[in-house]
Amino acid sequence: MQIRELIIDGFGVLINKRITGFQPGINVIYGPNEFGKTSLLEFIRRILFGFPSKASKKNLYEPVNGAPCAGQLICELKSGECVSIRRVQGANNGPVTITHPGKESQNAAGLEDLLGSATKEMYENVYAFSLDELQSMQSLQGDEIKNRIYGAGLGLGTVSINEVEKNLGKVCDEWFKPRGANPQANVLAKKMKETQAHIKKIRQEAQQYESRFARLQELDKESQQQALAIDASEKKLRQLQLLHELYPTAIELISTKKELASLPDSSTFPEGGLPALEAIKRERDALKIRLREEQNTLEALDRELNAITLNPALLEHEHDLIYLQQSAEKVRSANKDLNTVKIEQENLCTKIREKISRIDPHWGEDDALRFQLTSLEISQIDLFHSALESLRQKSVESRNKLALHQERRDEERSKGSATPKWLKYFVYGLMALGGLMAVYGFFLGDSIFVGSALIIASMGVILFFLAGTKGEDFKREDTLQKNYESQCKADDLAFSQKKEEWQDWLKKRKLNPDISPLNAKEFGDRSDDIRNLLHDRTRLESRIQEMTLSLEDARKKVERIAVTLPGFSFNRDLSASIEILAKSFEENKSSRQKFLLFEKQKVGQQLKLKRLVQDLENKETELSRFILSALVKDEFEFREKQQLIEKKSALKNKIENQESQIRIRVGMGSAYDAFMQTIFHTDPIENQAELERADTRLKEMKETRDRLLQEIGETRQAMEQIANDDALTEQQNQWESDRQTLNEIARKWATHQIALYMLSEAKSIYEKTRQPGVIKSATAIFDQITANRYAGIFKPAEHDDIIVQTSDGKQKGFLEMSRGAREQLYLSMRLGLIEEYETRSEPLPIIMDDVFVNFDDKRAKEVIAVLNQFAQSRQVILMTCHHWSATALQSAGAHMIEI
Amino acid sequence: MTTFRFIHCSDLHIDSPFKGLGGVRPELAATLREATYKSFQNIVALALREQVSAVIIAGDVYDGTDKSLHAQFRFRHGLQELSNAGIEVFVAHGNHDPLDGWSASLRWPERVHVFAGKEPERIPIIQNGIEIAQIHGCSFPTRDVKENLALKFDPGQYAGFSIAVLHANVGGNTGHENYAPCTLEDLISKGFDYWALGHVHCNQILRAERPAVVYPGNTQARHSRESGAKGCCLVELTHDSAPDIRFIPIDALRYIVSRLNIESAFDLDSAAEKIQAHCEGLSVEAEDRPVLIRLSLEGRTSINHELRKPGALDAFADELQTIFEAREPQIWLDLKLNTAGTFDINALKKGNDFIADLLSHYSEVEASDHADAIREQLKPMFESWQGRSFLEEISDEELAKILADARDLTLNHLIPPS
Repeated sequence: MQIRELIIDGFGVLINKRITGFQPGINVIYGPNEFGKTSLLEFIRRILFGFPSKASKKNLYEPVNGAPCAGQLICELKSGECVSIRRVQGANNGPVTITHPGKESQNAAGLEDLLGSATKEMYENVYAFSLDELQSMQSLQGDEIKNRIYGAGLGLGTVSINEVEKNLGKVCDEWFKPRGANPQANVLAKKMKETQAHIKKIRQEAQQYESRFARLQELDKESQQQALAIDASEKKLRQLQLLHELYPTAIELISTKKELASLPDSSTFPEGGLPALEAIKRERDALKIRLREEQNTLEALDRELNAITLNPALLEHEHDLIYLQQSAEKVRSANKDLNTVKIEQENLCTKIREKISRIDPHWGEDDALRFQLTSLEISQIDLFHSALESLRQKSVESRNKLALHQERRDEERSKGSATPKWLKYFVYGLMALGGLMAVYGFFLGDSIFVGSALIIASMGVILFFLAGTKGEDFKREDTLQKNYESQCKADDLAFSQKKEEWQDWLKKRKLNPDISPLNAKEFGDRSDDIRNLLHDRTRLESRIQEMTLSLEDARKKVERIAVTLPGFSFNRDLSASIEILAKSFEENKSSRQKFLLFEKQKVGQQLKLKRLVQDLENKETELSRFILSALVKDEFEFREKQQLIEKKSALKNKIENQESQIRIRVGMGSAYDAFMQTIFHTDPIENQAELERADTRLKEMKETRDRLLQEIGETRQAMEQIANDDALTEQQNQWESDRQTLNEIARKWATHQIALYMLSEAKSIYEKTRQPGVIKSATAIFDQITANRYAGIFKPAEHDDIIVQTSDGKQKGFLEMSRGAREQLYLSMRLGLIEEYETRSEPLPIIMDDVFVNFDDKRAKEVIAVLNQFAQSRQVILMTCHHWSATALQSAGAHMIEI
Repeated sequence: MTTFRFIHCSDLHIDSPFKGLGGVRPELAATLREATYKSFQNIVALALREQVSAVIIAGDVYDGTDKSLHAQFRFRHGLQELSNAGIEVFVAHGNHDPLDGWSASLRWPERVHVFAGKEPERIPIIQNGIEIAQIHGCSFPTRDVKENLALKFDPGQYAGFSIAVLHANVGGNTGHENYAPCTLEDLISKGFDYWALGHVHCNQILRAERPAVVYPGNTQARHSRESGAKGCCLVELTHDSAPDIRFIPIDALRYIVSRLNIESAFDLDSAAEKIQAHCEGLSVEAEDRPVLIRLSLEGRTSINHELRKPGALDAFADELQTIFEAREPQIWLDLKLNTAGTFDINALKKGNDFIADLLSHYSEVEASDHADAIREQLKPMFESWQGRSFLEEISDEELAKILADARDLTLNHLIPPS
């Protein structure tokens, strides 16, 4: 990159200045002091690498017009491309604008690309320097510059050893610092110490298990003893509480016993005592009441008996009266039906006579009674009927068949010939055969054959005539008609015989022989009806007789009884009389039954009264004896004694109850006796005090026990926690893991540390054995400037100073050299450095501000020659206030820049 | 034929912490914490399932003399289960839990016999009224038992099975501290049927019969040097024939140490896939139990630079662990980064620049006696820092590895990835 133009908006004294005409090679800017040469140098530096901040305490070159520093460089790149670099004072070194043709960017990285990664330090000290900076060795002592000087020729390309060392060192520092706190190894070591302490503590705690175990055993023992003591105390307390609670009861028991003993004897007293007495008295009084009631009942019975009236005479006819009562209905019915029955009987007689006359007018009732068909006879009648019917039917059929046959025969006779058909066909056949044979024989010319044929034909003709004339020979005799006729005769005979047989059967039974079997059967049925009617008439006659007798008997009995009933007179209405008598009889009978009942009740009542009187006397006696059995005179004394007994009983109950209460609490037998003995020696006040003391003691003991149990629980829990705590394993594992991590870090650190060491060692060896390219280049330049007065430049391995070796082999340090020679050495070093640097980077413009002032003419001339040669492929801008310098440079071919 | 079946185990180290695992996830921490006890529970379950007559524990029940109370209670709980099932238990204490260490005053279950420390004790086993075996045993009275305890054992004239229980280092095994040292010949000469040994953490049958001399190994791996199956021995002794000794893995968590070359991985995703597949394959060996895999990533890979960035490996390991999160049984991953960049060190050494000088210097230091100068650099942390007591000393071997790591680290910085 080479500068073509400077455009200064404002920078120190330079305001709105534009400097053009910069070309490749040497460019000279000539001007007097305070002309602004140093400002120009600084302007170029700051446009490329930024404006310093106010805090930097550097000269800010503030423009005199008060505006911010600003300006731009127009540069031409190696590729021929023009680029503008513009920067304005501001934050972060001031914003920079890079403008390529048709493209503008505000990217600082773009500028770095143009500068070939040259740093500000590098540029300010090597490329653009003033006389003051040239005179100072310090300007070449920066790390980067040193590495540039010594790294050149290392064969590392763009890699900076210093950068490598810095990176390795940084990593080392991140891992470990001997006195650091934050590096990983230091942090881990601290953590491990803490873990170690924790592990130690856990182990100590684990060993506390033993002491806790021993303590637990002690506590268990103590707890058991305490439990026993509490049991004893609780027992004592219960005794005292018992005594305290039962004391009043026991004292009252003793008192009750004394009171019971003081009461008089009451051993003789009837069982049941007063309640029994009262019961006897109640029974006696009840008897008295009942006796009075029964007497009243007896009197009522007497009154009832006296009120009853009776008719004994009437009652003597009780049997007849009962008979009349029972036949009253029969009498009434006979009275009513007698005439009706008689009429019915007469009607029946008339009907019988009519029925008999219908069978036979000569028959009487006896004939009708006698005529009766048996079942055998009825079946015989049926047989006769069916046989006669069958025979008659058969005879009719035979006659019909005969008539039909005669009709057919007459029909056939009317048809003529009787010759059979087969004969006719045979005749025709013979004639036809004879004819055919004759024709055949004629054709053959066989006369025999023709003759035979004619014979056959002649036989046919003969047979034809015979069949016509002898037709009657083929008729048969009519035997069928004869059969039919004989059958008719036989059937008629059979029928006549059966009819005669029937008439004989009727005659035997005195019946008309002309009647048919069906009529004979009907007569049988009619005679049965007549017999039934005769039986009905006989029954009616018996009934009439019976009714008449009943009425007569009843009348006689009524007349006999009527005399016993005053005011009763018999009339013709037998049924009404019987009813009156029966009613009167019923009344008397009822009164008699009532009387007898009352009589019986009265006797029973009298016996009951007698028994009640006896019972009352007995009860009175029992009462007296009961009172006397208590050895007292009367009921009053009895009652007094009863009260005494009741009081004793109450006292006994009370004693029992109290004893029971005590026994429930203290027990039976000896325990009870012992307790009662204790009561006699007990002072209740003292007992109360003792009870309170025991209660307090027990509470204290329980508190102690609870405390022990709590401690046991806590100890067990702590032991369990210790036993189950795997914190030790966890911590140990953590510690081991950390130790491993620490060792890994330590080894990484060692690797880096050794890498650093080895790098340093290698560098030292390299410096000893192979001088850096920068030094070599610088030596060549220095030799040229000093006209080989010095044999070379040498950089010792131990330090960064440069030693110059004279041609006679002597070595000189900086301080031993003249000011001019020293500046020439530094200039040579810079030029060498630039040569080395530009082997890998974009060439940058080199700017020098009045660096020749301390050079003698000869060496100044040599320097100009060197620069001229150096600027062949570069751009060198030289600023000077010395005319001779400008002239010398101009004569050497430099371009003069006018401002 | 009379037989005697028992379980022989040792070195339970109940509740001892896992070593060599830093920054453990809480879920894994819980599994690790429980692992030693769970393996003991597995022994109890095995004994109940196999209906053995006895369980013999040959020392180091606990990890430290000041054993955790929690461990003691848990141990007693397991013994109670065995005792309730009628199984005799014989316990000999070893160098990690000698008799003079602190123990809580616990009452042991009925059938549990803890051997005394002065002389070997002899305890008969009686079944159905018949004595079928005698168990001889001796505990460590103190941690540092340097005498040959085996010489004190004597089976006498006994027709039944004689078993000796001892925590000892047979034949001067250099991998373990030399407590109660003895030789195999000492044991053979005694005439026991079976020497139930403890102390060595890997399963070894030093002699198969007449007598059988067996280390069952510890029951649960607790650091990377104890990788592989851990368990106990199920033993059946029969007269006139060799003992049937079966190793039964009972570890609750399998520790596997493995290496994986990820040279072919071109990015983190492909590396993750390779690691996942590798771990899945390894987990099959664990027979359905959780597995903790310490996996060393090796090889020159382009992702070395990325993985070497601060915090990158942890983030990558977390990502991988997330993949295994839902898996059952669980896979836990402990990644170790031993990869290198893709640069060719030999070619670089041949250069004429600073890197060539650097590598030459590393080679010179590795080859020569510059260890003191290197160790001098580590003094601020390993010698003068107050936290140095927590650090394990860096062995020469480890120092060499650190040096190689430092070299790779420097190269990673000096040679940016292309």
